[in-house]
Amino acid sequence: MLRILFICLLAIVLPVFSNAQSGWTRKKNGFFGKLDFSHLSAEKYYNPLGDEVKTTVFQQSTLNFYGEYGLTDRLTAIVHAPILRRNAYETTEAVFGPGDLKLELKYRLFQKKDYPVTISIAPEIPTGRKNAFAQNKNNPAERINLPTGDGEFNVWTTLAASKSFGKKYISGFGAYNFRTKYDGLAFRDLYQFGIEGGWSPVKKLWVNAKLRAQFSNGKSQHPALSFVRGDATTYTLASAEAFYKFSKNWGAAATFLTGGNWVAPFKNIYIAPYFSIGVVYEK
Amino acid sequence: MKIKLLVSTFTFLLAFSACKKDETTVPPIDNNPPTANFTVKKTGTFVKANGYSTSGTAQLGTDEKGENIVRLKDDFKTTFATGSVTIYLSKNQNLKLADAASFINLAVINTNGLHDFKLSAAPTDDFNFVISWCAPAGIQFGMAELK
Repeated sequence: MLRILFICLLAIVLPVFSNAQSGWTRKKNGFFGKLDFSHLSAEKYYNPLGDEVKTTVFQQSTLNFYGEYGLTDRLTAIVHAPILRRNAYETTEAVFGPGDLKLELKYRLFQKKDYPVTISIAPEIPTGRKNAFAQNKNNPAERINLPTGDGEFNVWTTLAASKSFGKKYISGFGAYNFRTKYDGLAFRDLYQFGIEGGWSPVKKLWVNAKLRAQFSNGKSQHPALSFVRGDATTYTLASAEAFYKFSKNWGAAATFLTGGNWVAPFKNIYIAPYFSIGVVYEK
Repeated sequence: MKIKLLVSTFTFLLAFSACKKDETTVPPIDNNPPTANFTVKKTGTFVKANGYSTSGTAQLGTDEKGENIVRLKDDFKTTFATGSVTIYLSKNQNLKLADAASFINLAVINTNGLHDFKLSAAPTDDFNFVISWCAPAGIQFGMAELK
């Protein structure tokens, strides 16, 4: 059945005011870290055909760490770590576990004035629980698999560019996700495109808006992968973010995310307004 | 110092993920052995619902003692990657859990193939649908109309 994922069932992580999908790298020894909490509560699910299905309420909460460290002025190490995830339907007990760990190296290919271009490689390691069966509250024999990771090794490759205009900036990226197999079953590769615009309307405050579309290289070939492991999930998501820096190094961030059947249609995904709040440290 | 912090974070995450338990085993409720001398009264073929695959044959009939049985034949197949599936005999082609008189809960299953479910009493003639149901999410995977 149903992916969240994923999340989809397997969580959508949009780092706030990080450089993840931009043309910028951290300067040498520069650090950016963010610890955030996000929560999704949804009953509107789009199945692999793109049809809307109403289910019982699905909830996913994630404590997530995102960090960047400047190895050199042109090379940045990035970690995306869903430290702890909670998945449940309103009808089931909750299951807990870490998500899949993504380690990324981003390299600045060139920079002409304020127009940097980067390429990054980000292997995603299946550190999450590959199977996590949540039992129904009314009948423990009824259960559903709500893994906190997809159980599969995959690699994202991203090309990104940015341009700043004083207190404003724009970024754009294209990314390809080479996916492998779980239990001998092959996932479909994914690709994404996105744009972002940011602005600092007052001192210490930044806001931005992002639009991102994900496409699949074909339909899922395996029902066992589709819902449970988020195979061939497509979507178009829009987010608005705000970051306020309340001291030299510390700040707070908030994100609101929603989506629509715009560029890429919803397939194999739960959709509902999605919030996250976090604490940021930057040096 | 910062590199040490990052390495410590990775180590913690990897150690945490390595220590967890991945599986929880729950036995199925359906333990009925196949019924001998099964006489078919009605039969139907599953059609999938909500984009999820369910296929095969459902039958309603009696055994040699005259007990009423719902059978999923050995060609029955559905998606168990999600966990378990509950089988219902229903008056409606779409299960209505709010109307307790409209269905009979037969069993929770987590294997494909042959299953027999004994009924405590003969169903009325308007129970004409066998439904495959994902209970946690509350959606139908498939339905067979018995004729």
